Amino acid sequence: MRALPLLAEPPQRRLPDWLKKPLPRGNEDFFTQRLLDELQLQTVCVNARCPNQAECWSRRTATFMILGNICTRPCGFCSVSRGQPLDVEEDEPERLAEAAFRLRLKHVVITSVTRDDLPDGGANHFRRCILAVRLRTGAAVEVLTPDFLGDPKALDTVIDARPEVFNHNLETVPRLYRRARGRADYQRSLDLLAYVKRRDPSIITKTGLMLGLGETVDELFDVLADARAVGCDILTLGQYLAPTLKHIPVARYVPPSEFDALAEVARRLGFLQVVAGPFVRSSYHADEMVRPHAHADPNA
Amino acid sequence: MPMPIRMPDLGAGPARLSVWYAEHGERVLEGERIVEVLTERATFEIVAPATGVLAEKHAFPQDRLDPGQILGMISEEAP
Ligand code: SF4
Repeated sequence: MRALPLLAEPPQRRLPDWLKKPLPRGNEDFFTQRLLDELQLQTVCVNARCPNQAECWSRRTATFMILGNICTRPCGFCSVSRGQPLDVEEDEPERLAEAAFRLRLKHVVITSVTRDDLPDGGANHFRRCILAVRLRTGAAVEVLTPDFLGDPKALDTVIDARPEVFNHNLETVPRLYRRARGRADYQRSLDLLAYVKRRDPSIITKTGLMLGLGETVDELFDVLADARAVGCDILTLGQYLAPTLKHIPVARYVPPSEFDALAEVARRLGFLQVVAGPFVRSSYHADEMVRPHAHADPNA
Repeated sequence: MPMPIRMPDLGAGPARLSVWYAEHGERVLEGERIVEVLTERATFEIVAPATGVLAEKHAFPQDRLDPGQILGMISEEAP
């Protein structure tokens, strides 16, 4: 699997100090990359140009992106290609399960492009992937899903496969949805989180936000309160980093101290787990976010 | 045996060398940060792959870098 075509020119300017990462050693044998190439699997790590890729892949972990690498929605923050998606690959669940097995993952994160072209939005393919991974590895499964256009039948299909974690990212504050998320709808995403919790309270629900798109602190507080009001268990907050110059530019680099302060507010609101920091992504160290909780307490 | 300092595949877009932390001929320790690389999305610090002397630099500030490229060599002896 090759990374996206490179931009013409690398950057000239320096980023703030806190966006500096030491490069871990340990991926000299390119184990993760070779495995993903061999099994022809897509990852969000590559497709979203994630800055944590070297670190995560050297830990032999990756976030699988199913249903192809062409998305039907044009979100302004995301570097995944958009256009006419390819046919669903029927053997993808087994290939994914094999990769999870060989990477010895105990916690497998599966996400997808948005497939508004499929009648069920790809929900049945999610279900098949969850079941295949569980059968082959016994690992916990976290799904990070699109909104399935709010279709309860599609959601039921995924929920009934009982992923340990159901993640759906709110991404940003409602005012910025049009610009950042195109055809998505804030209320629909919130309703999705509420629905999952109602249908199966034992599933841990999780959401994530990108900071630095132009949101205000008050707007953020409102979103955190909304997410808690629908029983969301885990929250991730990370810095938005524009994938290329064609994407929405970064409005502000949020310093680590602000991430800490927001995380504190979120904890007081009652999230079971909050992970916040410039390089935090919803799948970053996802295994560690969940381990203490396993399944959510339905009586909480 | 001289040990190459290789540019890893960062996955974060095109990269540029910004600064060497060590001078030519300087002793470096394995794991010590040795060169800084800029991308649009993060700044990365590449560490010395071995203890020795920074014997050669093959890339310089402002150079555009490709994955796998050799940035320099560390040797056991002073050059
Ligand atoms: S943070 Fe997530 S998307 Fe980024 S490299 Fe790690 S696993 Fe992949």
